[in-house]
Amino acid sequence: MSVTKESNLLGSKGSSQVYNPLTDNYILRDGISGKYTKISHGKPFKGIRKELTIIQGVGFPIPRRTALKAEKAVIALRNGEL
Amino acid sequence: MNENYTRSVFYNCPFDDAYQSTFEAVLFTIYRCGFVLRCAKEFDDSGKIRIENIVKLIAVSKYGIHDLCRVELDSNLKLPRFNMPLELGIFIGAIKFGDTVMHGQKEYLILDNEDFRFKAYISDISGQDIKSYHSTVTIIKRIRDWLSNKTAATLPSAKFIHADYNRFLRDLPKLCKANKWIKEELTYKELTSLAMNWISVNE
Repeated sequence: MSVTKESNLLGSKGSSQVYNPLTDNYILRDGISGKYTKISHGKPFKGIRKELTIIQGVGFPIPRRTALKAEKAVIALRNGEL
Repeated sequence: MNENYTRSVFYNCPFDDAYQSTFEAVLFTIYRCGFVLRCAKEFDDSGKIRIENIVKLIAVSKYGIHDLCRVELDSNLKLPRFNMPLELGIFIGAIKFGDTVMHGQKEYLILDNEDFRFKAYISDISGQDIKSYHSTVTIIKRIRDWLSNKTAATLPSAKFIHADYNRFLRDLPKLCKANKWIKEELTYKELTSLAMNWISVNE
């Protein structure tokens, strides 16, 4: 299942979201499948638990295009699509 | 002091091919510990004078880690590399002569890959926090243990960070292939993006 961008549909019970400071994206992890299923840019998914992340961002500019490509690849890998 | 400053770690090390795998392990460890790596690689494409960039990085970093491992003589020129000791000196100078509220609170760790060798070539730093390492596992441990005293977060032990790093290395070829990148040709920004994203979803 590929990741849907800016979807209004919320995940199943037990879903959580991870914030990526590099892309300013919130990534929804489905509570049942454990897969990353949706992305929201700049706005967290309402009513979904936020996972604490140790990542604090980066101190120098990384092109958004590069950050998005890295994010997409990592999500695909985690979802078993690579 | 802003949060970016108190999270930033200036990393002073050689940037040659032989050091690349160590550098990648350090990059992974610093981000895995919740800190932000600052190093001269950020300025690869810049035309500015290198020392100005170094000073700028030191100014925005509360912490400094200085790996003085590359002190042997160059095989052709028969001269050592002085950049790392120079940058350590600038960092110590910032502590001693900079703004006492901000720069006076900087802290640093000195690394070398041989025990007590520094006494032979830079004895003035005796009595500082100098740690030796002999492998990727030990440099991860040195940095993780040092940073664990600078954060309120509970960090995984070095053994777990090393295991995560090895998983990241195993995943890296697939992540590169998905983007038509070649691992050996990754830019610093590409490598940082991949490592940070990987850590975000694999904690």
